[in-house]
Order: sequence, then structure tokens, then C-alpha cells
Amino acid sequence: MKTTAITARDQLLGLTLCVAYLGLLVATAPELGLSRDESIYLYAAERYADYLEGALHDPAKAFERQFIDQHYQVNHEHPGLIKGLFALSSLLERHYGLFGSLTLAHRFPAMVCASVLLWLLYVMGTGYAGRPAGLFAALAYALLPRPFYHAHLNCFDVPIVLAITATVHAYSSTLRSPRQLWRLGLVFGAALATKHNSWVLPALFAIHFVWLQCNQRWHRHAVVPPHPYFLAAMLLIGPCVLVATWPWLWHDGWTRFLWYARFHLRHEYYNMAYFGVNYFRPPFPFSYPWMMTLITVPLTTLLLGAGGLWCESTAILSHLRRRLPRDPEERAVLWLGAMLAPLLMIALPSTPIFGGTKHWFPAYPFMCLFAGIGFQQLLATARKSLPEHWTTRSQRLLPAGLTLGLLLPSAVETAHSHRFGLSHYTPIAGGVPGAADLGMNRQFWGFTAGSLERFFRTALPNGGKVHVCDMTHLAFHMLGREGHLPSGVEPTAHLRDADYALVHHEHHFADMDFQIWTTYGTVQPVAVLSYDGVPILSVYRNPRGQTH
Amino acid sequence: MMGKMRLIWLAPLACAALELFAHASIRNGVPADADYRAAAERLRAQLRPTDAVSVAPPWIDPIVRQYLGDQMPLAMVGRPDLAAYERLWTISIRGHRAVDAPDQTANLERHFGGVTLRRYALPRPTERYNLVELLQSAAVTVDKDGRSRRCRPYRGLPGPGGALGRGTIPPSERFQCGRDRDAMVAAVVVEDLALQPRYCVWHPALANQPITVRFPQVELSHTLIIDAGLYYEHERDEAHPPVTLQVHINDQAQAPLVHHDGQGFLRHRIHTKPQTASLSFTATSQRTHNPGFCWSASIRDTP
Repeated sequence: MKTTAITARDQLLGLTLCVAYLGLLVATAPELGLSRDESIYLYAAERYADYLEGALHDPAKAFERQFIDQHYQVNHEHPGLIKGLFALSSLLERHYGLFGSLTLAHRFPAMVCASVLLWLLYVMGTGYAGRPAGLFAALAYALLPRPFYHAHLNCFDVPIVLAITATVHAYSSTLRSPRQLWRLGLVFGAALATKHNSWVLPALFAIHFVWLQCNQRWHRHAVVPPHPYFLAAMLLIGPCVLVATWPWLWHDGWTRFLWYARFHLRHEYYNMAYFGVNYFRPPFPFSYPWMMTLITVPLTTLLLGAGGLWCESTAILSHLRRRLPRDPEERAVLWLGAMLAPLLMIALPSTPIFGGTKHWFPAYPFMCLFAGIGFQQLLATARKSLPEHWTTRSQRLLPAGLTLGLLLPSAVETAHSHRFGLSHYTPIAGGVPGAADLGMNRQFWGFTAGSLERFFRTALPNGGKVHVCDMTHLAFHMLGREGHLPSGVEPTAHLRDADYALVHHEHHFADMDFQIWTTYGTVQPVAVLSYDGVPILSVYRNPRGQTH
Repeated sequence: MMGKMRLIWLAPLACAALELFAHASIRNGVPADADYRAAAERLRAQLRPTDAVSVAPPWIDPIVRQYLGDQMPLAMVGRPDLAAYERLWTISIRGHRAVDAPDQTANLERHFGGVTLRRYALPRPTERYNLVELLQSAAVTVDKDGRSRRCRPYRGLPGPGGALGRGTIPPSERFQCGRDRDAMVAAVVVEDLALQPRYCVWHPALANQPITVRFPQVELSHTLIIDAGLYYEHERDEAHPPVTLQVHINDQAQAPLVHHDGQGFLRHRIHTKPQTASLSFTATSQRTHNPGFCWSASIRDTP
């Protein structure tokens, strides 16, 4: 382990990564239709924007229960911070037309979170193991196919990854400098105000702190605070941020918070296909998050992550045996805990597995940090093995060449996954067709209907009605509003009234195929949208449709 | 040895190269739409009314239906088995074999790029007909509050709605037993417990309102095969009372079929004599909701 001081140049490089990734996300976002959850958050954030406008106009109303409830009742199963950012972004679009698209306006704050995460990863990796490690970690995360899809969305799954990673970073900073405690409290508050995944963090840090204490007694030279002040900062400041950013809790707050907690602790179960079984109730397989990680994360990144973890583990054990000091903050141990915690939580047989891989995304930054460490070790080994007559220039090109070679599969797979991020599987599963053979989930949230733009332009040039299956009506309306559909194309809840009906292919959605067969009297779709030869969407024409 | 170990840093690069190669190879192995189209055209030219079509792996089914769906009636795609068919065509990719393909060499095998078309001869068909196809000739009654009332035959617009968990939409031809949407009898395709299509008579089994489907004159043979179960979401929780299907032949009660949640579609065999007889099916249960019972009844020659 080689600790590197973070310089202004490092921050500039981190910022460059951040801006470049943000540009990439903005450029590729229009190709993704709004997903089910996004449409709900968009609706909620629009209500929040109305609240903010109303509160600015008449500040006295800002604290009135009726005024708050009127705007914050919707989607009160999630805290207010991120939707508040979506709302602010929407206001910028409303008043200044800053984004040119309401969908982009809502998505932009989460894209910024995804991009800042790269900056943070660069800083964390560089600080711990050196610049090549930091850069590799950030790039490896940017090139994970499924997180790349989620990075586009106005959802909380990527913001919570940033919030958790930042909280972990802030916690380790407080071990060096207790004056950073207020920052830890604020960042943890932001995590609380983003998503409930953050609830596990105090326990995780407590375990790490116990480890540090044991280490200190053992070595007698590690310097750590004698008391867990961090807990006080987190538990005192964190809830204040949660409440401050979520007006829903300003009246009857405790009751409403308990409802919120109960909602997530007793979350309903959805359908999820895994090795040919449609799981819809517990017990869920323990292997789920591990196997899904194996078949959705590029193999080379996994291999380097495992290599980095191996190097760190052996180094820690070796230092323990020899009673030598290493990293006083034991960041590798902390990162290992932060990586395993989300995976273990989802692996519990009682935890609902409705969200595919996104629920353990908070593990991925730490996996990528270990991949960065693995890369750094690899680089050192490669340098040693190079012939002596190699020039300095060649030596300098080595990190770039290795980075390119090792991340090329990730880049190719991520580029190929675009528009079908939730359907993508790596070659370990045999790719998309291999995963279909294995009976894995093919998609959720209905966003792939956004890929039918060309079909609808040809089939319904003068408008018509579409039964949109898993896509929400609001999401479909947004496609029309943003010019992806001919004018007059509307969603309908009734198969009999539709000109066309969609089926998103998931195992249990066969139900929709069969309802359509029965209603339309035909099993023949007029179009099938496929990805690597695997059907994603079928489109049926209603023989009684008005437009034929 | 140390010299070799020094080159270990090349291993991840080799892994990356392998990953790239595998990715490209998987994408290259995807059959083109033109291959499916060519296979479908060949099949279409030789398809007979007594032929069935299967696909392998099952997930290519929507693609095959896109090219051949007009030749695939509901009765074929929702069939209980192959007893009604003389030949089976299979369309497959990636070396898969259709699960219902007979364990014998195909009479015909052709390759269209990555798509393989096979044809198998089947044993002599034993099914004479299935009562699902004759539902419109039946009389349907519902017993409620001690009175038996006739369910009105309806032909017109399908019912409203269409959403996951609905099981079925009232089709354009149905028997309507009152205003309740669930109280309807019709030939439909439902999702069974294995998420497979079943072409069957939707025959709700609700407490205190048994519905009877009566066929006045049926040409029986040696066997009556009944395949019955519930719509996927109505039985998957395994939390509801059982459903009993009581069959009467010439008003004589046969051994009932009792279906418990979680059993999926069950096969019930009744030995019959070749004769013209009246047949009635009555579904009873203590269920107050999730009544989506569905059955098909096949008249067969096999003793």
C-alpha cells in the first residue's frame, strides 16, 4: 500500500472524469424511455416543485401542514432530498428551459451523482494506493453495464451509492481528524435523506471501530479515537438532515417516520426470475446477489477486484502476524465491510429481490477500489518483468496500455448494453442468449418500450391507442411529449380499445401474452424487439383497432 | 519457475482478451431474422391442419410466432399434449431440442443459418375433439341463492381491462353469469402454474354459486381426459380452499377431480363407452376470491 497525498492536479483529473462521464450520460439518455419508477418519482418531484414555488411565493405557507401534505403525500415511501433535487432541476427547466427536456431535467441530478462518484472513487483510490489505482477504480465503475444504465435515471439507486461511498470516506477521515465529524454527520444525513440502504452504516462503522480498537490493543501504536464519536455525529446530525430535507416529517413526524420504516422493513415481494424459477415470496436463494454479480459484472473487473482483495488480505494478515502498523484507519477492512454488507443484506432469504442488481450497487464502488488495488499490483509486477532495455517512454506507456487492455471488455460490453441495460449479461452467463437459456430475468420497469419509436412512427403516424403493458401511462405520455411518438398516440388501460398492445417479456408476463391472445384471437405479434436475438418486447395489433 | 511467475501479470490481459472474444462470438452466434423467416416459409409450405409446432429454447417463441403465428391456433399453442396431431415441427437454435419432440430421428431436418427445422412423425392421433372447441354448443347455468339461472351467451366486444394478474379478459364470445366480471365462462388461454399457456374453459369456482357447463350431446369414445388447474396467480400462494370438478355423464356422477393450490394442471382420466351422451361439468369451492379454474376435456379413442 502506497499512500498518496491528493493534490490540486488530482482534483482536476477527478473533475475531468466527472464532467466527461456526465457528458456521456446526457448524450446517451434520450435513447432510454422513462422507466416505471422514474415516472412515479417524476410525478412526485413535480409536486415538490410546486411546493417550492408556492413556498417561495408565500413563505408562511411553507410550514403549513395542509400545504405540505398536498404536495408531499405522493410517494412518501421515500425521503425528500433527491426528489427535491429533481424538483429544483425541473424548476430550472420550467423557468429557463435549461435542459430542453423535462425528462433530462429530472434525470440530471442523479447523473451528477453518478459522475461525482467517479471523482470520489479516484480520490479514494489514489489516496489509498496511488494514482493508477484511483484512475482504474473510477474507470472500472464507469464501465459497469448495469450501473451505467441506472446512472441515467431519476431514481435513488445511484445517488445512494454516492451517498454511502461518501459516508464511508467521511467516516475514515474522522479517524484521522476528529474535526471532520460534522462533515460525517452531514454526509450521513444526506444518505439517510436519499434512501433507506443507509440505515446499515452506523452498524458497519461500529464493527470497523471495534476492529480498530482490538488492533490498537494488539499493536499499541495505531492512533484511533478512544471513543466512537462518529456515532454521536451520525445519530445527532443525520436525522436532522433527513427531517430538514423532507417536509413530510414536519408534522406528525414520528408516526410518519415509523410508517416509512415499516414500509421498507415489510416491503412487498415482486416477481423475479432466477434460474428458471419465478420467485415471488421468500425464501429467496442466498446465491442470488453473488451469482448475479458474477454474470453481470465484466469478468476482468471481477478478477482484478479479487486480486486486489487477495493482496490486501495477505498484507493485513502479514502485518498482524508481525505486529507492524499498516494503514491506521484500516481502510481495506472498512471497504471490505462496505462491499459485503449490501450483498449479504440481499442474500438474506427474507429480503425481497425485486430490484435486480441495483440494490447492492453500493458494493460496487468498493469492488472497483479493490480492482484498482489489483491493477496497481499488476502494474508493479509488469514493470519488474519488463526487459531492462525498455525505454522510459515505454515504461510510461505501460499504465495506459494496461488500463486500455483490461477495461476494453467492460467498455465494449457497456456500449453494447445501452438501451437494454437490465437485459445485459456477460459472457460468463453466455451473454444475453445464455442468460435466457438459464432462465434469468430479462428486464423490469417497462422502459424498453422507448425503443419502439420507429415502429410507432410507421404504424400510427396519425395517432392511436396503445396498451403499454409494464410501462406506466405517464412514462408513455413523456415519450410523446418529448417527440419520440407521433402526436395523438395515447396509452389505454383496455386491450379491447387499443390499436396495438405491448408485452414486456419477463417470465410471469406470459400472462399478458395470453390475455392478448384471448382478446385478439391471434398469437401473432406484428413486431418483436429483440436484443442479441432474445425477445424483449412483442407488439400485437388489435384486429378491431380503429386505425386499420 | 520465477521467470514464468514474472509473466503472471499477463493473465488478466489474457482474461480480458478471452472475454472480448467470447462477447464477439456470442453476438456472431445470434441467428438472423432472415434465418427464422426462411425456416418459417419452408414450414408454412408444408404445414397441415393436423401438424403441431414447437420451439426450442422456449424463449424464441415470440420470434417464431411473429413469422408463423397466423398458422398457430389457440388450441395448438395451448395444447395439453400431442394426442391431436399427426406430425410435429420443431424450430430450434443453439443446439436445443424441443421438450415434446419424440425420442426418434426426425423425418426431415433442414438448417437455415443458425435455425434448425425438424419434422417428426407422431403416433396415430387419439384425440377426436376437445370440448373447449365446442363450448358454444353448451348450456351454462349458475346456482345462486337456491335458484338455477341460465348464463347468457354473449357475442360482441371483449371485456374491459388487461393487466398483469387479471388472468383473463372476457373474450368476445362468452357466457355471462350476472354482472360480476369473474362470473363468466369462456374458451380462453390462461397462464398455468408453470407459466405455460393452457387453452381451456374458464370456469370460475366461487363459494355458494357453482356454475355448471352442460353439453347435451357428446359423441364419446373410450376415454375422457380432463386437464384442469387454476390460473397462475390464483393458486401460486397455496392459500385457498380446493376446487372440485364434478363430471356427470348422462346425469351419472363420475369420480370428482379435486384440485389443491400448488398442484398446477392435473390430468384426470375417465373411462367411457363409445356412445352419445350428455356431459356436465360443475366446479365448486369455498373460495371467495381467486376463482380462476380452467379445464379442457379431450375425447379420446385410447382405452
